[in-house]
Parts: sequence; structure tokens; C-alpha cells
Amino acid sequence: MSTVISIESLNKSYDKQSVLSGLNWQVSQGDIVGLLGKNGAGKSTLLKSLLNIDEIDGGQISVFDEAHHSLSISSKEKIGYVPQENDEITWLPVTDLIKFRKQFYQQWSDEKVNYYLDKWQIDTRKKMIELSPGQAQKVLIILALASMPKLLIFDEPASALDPAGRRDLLKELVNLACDENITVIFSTHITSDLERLASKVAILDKGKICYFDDLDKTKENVVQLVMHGQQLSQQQIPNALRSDIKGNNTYCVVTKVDLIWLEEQKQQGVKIDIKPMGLEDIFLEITAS
Amino acid sequence: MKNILTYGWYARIFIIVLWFASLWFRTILDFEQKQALLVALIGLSNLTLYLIVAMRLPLLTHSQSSAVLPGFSSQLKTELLQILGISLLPTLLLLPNFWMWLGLISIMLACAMLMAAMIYLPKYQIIFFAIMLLPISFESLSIVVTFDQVMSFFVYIFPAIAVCTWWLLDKLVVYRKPSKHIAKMMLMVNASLDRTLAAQDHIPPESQNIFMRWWGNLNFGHERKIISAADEFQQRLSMRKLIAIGCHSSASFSRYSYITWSLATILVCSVALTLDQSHYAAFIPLISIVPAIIIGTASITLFQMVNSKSSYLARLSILPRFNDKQSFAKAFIKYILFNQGAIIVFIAMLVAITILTFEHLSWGIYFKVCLLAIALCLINSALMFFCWSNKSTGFQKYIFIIVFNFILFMLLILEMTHNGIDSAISLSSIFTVMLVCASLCVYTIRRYLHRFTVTV
Repeated sequence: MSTVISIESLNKSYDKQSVLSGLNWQVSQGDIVGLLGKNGAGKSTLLKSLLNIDEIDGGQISVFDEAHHSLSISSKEKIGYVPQENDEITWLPVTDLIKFRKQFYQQWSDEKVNYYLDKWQIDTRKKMIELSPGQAQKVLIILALASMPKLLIFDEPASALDPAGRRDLLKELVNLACDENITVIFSTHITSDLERLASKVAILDKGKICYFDDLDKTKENVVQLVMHGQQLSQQQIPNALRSDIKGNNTYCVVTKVDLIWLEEQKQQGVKIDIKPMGLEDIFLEITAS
Repeated sequence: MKNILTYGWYARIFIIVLWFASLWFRTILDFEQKQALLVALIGLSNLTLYLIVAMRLPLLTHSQSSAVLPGFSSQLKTELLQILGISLLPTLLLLPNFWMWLGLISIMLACAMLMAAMIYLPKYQIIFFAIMLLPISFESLSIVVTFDQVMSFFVYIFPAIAVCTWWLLDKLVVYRKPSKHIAKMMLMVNASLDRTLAAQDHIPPESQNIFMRWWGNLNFGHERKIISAADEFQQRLSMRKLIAIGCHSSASFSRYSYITWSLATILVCSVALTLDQSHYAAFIPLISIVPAIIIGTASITLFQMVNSKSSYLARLSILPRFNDKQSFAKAFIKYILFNQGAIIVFIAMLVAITILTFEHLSWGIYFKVCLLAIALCLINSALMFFCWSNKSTGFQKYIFIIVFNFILFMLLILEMTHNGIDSAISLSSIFTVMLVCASLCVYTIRRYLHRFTVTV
């Protein structure tokens, strides 16, 4: 699979406070990446930087094999972006806002716009300011989808939606990604959304992508080991993120179980339980470590 | 409480500048000749103050804390009395003319009451319009009322006004109704307390009054038609126009603003043509200051609009319509310069019409005023581009400088129209100022463009 986004040594700071430092990341075509991070970790900054909405301090970003700051029009046509906050023109009715946005694109699907407007029952006569936050966010999503992008970037796409709206949107995104082989990157801190949609999970912490892997592999690999009757330090356990000793037992979270080490322990008579973890716990463990 | 009641640095500076201007006139000019001017200056500054305080007052009287905080009402009354007392201090400049001093205090108290009444109960706005129409009514009924007669009237009713003010203050600090109207008022005041005028765009339509809704629909209707027509005929709007639509807001100087101001000017000139030329003096301050205010506020509004839309503009700049950020920057520069240029040309035309009617300026001075207005717009544009090229988020200091330029310009215009200091400012010095301003503007535009060519 070809690389859609490639980031090398990205640095970005605000008021001399570093937000992203030496960040490296590569996203392949067709990936549906959920970007997880704590509040203020820099998720929005990363997404805005790779789109050249925010200028970067250092590093290199390429999107569709072109430098992000000098993307060709054809590459720009392939990008759809939904911002976290609705800063669209408040006084325009939805129908006029769509016409306004259409002015910026060469390819635009009116069918797709009408399909989603009907599906989400959005009153196009209403002005943006008259819509509920959820409806306004749906309009922003329609605007992003209307140009038939190959790369969709969502900054907290479902934050203003109710549970039904969120489920609906996520289902739609999965269908889109599967049918049209588009790449999706979405930032979120709702891990259940990520579990429903993403094929890969990226965790942003301390200015870097500290974890990036397939979601299924992540849930398979990142597990908690409970070693009964053993007191082991973190250094003694391969791939350990964190370990706690409670009584005679050791509780340890590992990013991947070392099967050889596990076999050795079993041969020594150590009883080890392997407990799978939810994505939320995995995220907390990785960022805490 | 005083901070909330008098919130807003522009208004504070405006009021203080007028007070100092009064003091300046009092010290350097002949008192007997300048009494009316002093009354006008002090009156204007205090009316501004009372309007601001009256608008901010519901934030305190209708806040939830006002019902639970001990001694809230009495403290609010004390604060209001202090503001009233401070506002009356400049009236001392009228002494030793005790009669006029008492008359002005009486007028000021009546105005303060009227402002509060108009804000709390909109039906009292009719009184304001009635007062505005009084001079024309007197004129049409051939009733001659002199300045001294007006002052004497207010002196005689001063005791009644003072008692009424005290009674109204007592009532105002515990006033809680009507909640629906006040809720709307508070929403608007909260928006105006925001650092940017663009906050007004975020007032939900159901909370706007009929006039705001009507003006909003009218104001934005033209832009909507442009978008619809372009879509219908599959035309591509220019990049400048797209940016203009993106930046447009309820405070923008729109097509209907041009029409409204043109109609207002024609109306004033038509009324003047029906009157005797001896009454023209009353119109001169109005027709001198208003154009200056339009030019000054248009720059400030434009700057604030763009600043409030910066994230949205950054998002537009990455869309495929723009080849690169530099093409966006060029379209944006065109938008700013076109906006400023259009206002200058429009105001120059309006002033020309007023000159043809009132003959208050010679064409020589008119030419100089136009050049100074262009210089003002150039320096303001330079400041804006300097701020944007610095990627500065500290917009307030730039706004402060623009306001300062605007006040300077206004005072200069007043001086030129009142005293005709035509010879004091030579054409060559005005051209020098213009050249400096134009150079600064070109430099800052190049700097701004350079920012978009630098890539990491």
C-alpha cells in the first residue's frame, strides 16, 4: 500500500511551549486511523499542521508524495477536512453555504450532498446559526464528503453528535472507507468510537506518536499479565509498560507477550494469567507509562 | 461594578478625550464665544457615558447574584451616583456662568434617566425620537427657541429632575422586569463586551430584535444572491469576492450600508434645502464628524472581522481554489485594499454632496481632507498587514493605535471645518504624509506576502 502521509521530525510550538517534538508518522492508503491523545496532547495541532493550516517550526510533511506546503490543486481536491469547532459563516443558510463551498472545488458531487442532506434530515433553508451543534457538525461533514476526497481528516468528528448520530456517522465512514478505499484519520478521545471504526490506532503523547499499530493487533498484543506467587520488576519482564507488585503477585501490562519468556516462566512453575484489555485501559496504560 | 458599568476602552478614551478637549477649549479660547461649543462637547461625552452605563446596567440588575448578594442594591446605587458625580465634574468648566452650569446639569440628569428608561422599556424610545424631531417641528411652526431659553427652562425644572433622578435610581437598582426584553438586551451587551464586533454574529436569531433581524437579512441578502447567481450560471466568483464573503459579518460595511448612508445624506441635504441658511451651522458638526467616523470605524471593523475569522480564512486558504498560499494572500490583499478604497471614494462623494448643499468647505480644503483620509486608510492598512505578517495575536495594541489615528483625524477634520486652517497645512506637507503612509503600506504588504513565500 502506498504512503499517503509521511511526517518526519515534526516540531511545533506555541508561545515557546513545545506541542509536537520530533514527531514521525506514516499513514498508508486505505488506513482508517484513530488518533488518540489526552486533552492538550496536540491532536488538533498535528492535523492542522499536516494540512498546512498551522505553520510548522521544523520537520517535513508530505501528503500524496508532495510537500504539504506546496500541494498541487489535484492533491488538494483529494482532501476533506472537518474541523473540531464550527467556524463556518453563521449567516448563510445551509443551501448557500454548500454553493459557496462548491466555488472552491473543481469536482463536487451534488448527488452526495443531497443524499446526506436527506439522510440526516437537515433543513437547508436554515442558517448555520439556527442549527443545533449536531446538525451543524453534520453539515461540516457533508461539505468534506462532497468533494469526494481520498483522504478524510476529522478533528473530533462526533463530539457534538448524540449517540444515534455518532453511530450513524461512524457507520457511514466505515462504508465510505471500504467502498472507495479512502484514507481516514480522525482524532478522538472516545475510545468506543475508535473501536467501532478504526483499523489502526495511533496514540499521541508528549509531542510524539508513541504508539501506532493495527487495532486488532493492539487488542491482541497489549495485555495484562498476572504472575501468581512471583515478584518481578518491570525490567525483568519483556515489553513491559508498567508493573505493580501486590502481595505475592505481579501485575504487569506488556505491549506484546514474549512467547519464549512465557514458556520459560511456565517451565519454572510460575502460573501466569493473560488478561485482555479494553482500548481505554490500553490508552491509559500507554500514556501513563 | 464601575468596571462593568463603563466597560470598553474605546468608549472610555473617547469620553476622556472629549473632556480634555473641553478643558483645552476652555483654557485657550474666549469663554463667551465658546460656551455653546463647551456645552456640546461635554454633552456629547456624557451622553456616550450614560448610554454605555445604561446598556451595561442590566448585566448587574438582572444577574442572578443580584438577588442573593447582601447589600447589592445599595452598593450599585452608590456606584451609579459616583459615576454620575464624576460625569458632572466637567460641567464645572462652564462656571462662572452659574445659570448655564445648572441648566447643563439638569439636561444631563434628564438624559441619564431617559437612557436608562429606553434600555429597560423600549417604548420610551419614542421620547428620544420626539426630542430629535423637536427642532424641525419648531422650525415648521415658526416657533423661535433660543439656546438661553432652553437652558433657562432646564434650570427652572432642575429640582423636579433631581428628585425624579433620585427616585428612579432607587427603583432601578431593584428593578427586575421585563425579563424577556432584558434577556435579549443582556445577550447583545455580552456580545458587545466581547473584544470583537464579530461576536454579534453569534447572537441567535430568536434573540435578535426585529430591526437586527431585518438588517441582518438585508445586509447578507446581497451576498446570498451573488452565491446563488454564481451557482445557477455556473460562474466562478473571484478569489477576492470569495474572501469578502468569508469575512462578511453583520458589522461589515455592506452594499446596504452604502445605500443607507447615501439616503441619510440626501435626506439631511433635502431638509437643509428647505431651511434658511442661518440654520446651517447646526448641521456642520454632524456632516463633518459622521464621514470621519465612518472611515475610522470601517478600518477598525474590518480589522476585527478578519481577526475573528483568522482560523476560518486559514482553512479556506488550503482549499483547491487557491494554487498556493501566496495566491490566497494576493487575493486577501486585494480584498483589504478594495474595501478601504471603496469606503474612501464613497465618503468623498458624500462629502462633496454636503459641500454643494451647505458650502461649509472650500474645494481646496475638501481636496486636502480627501488626501488626509487616504493617508489614514493607508496607515491603518499598513498597521493591519504588519500585525498579520507578524502572526501577532495581540490585536488590541494595533486597534488602540488605529483608534488613536481615528481620533486624531476627527479632531483635525473638526479644526479644518470650524476654523478653516487651510493655510496651516500645506499641500506639500500632506503629500509628504501620504507618501510616508503609502511607503509604509507597500512595505508591510511586501512583508505580509513574503510570509507566504517562506516555506519550512
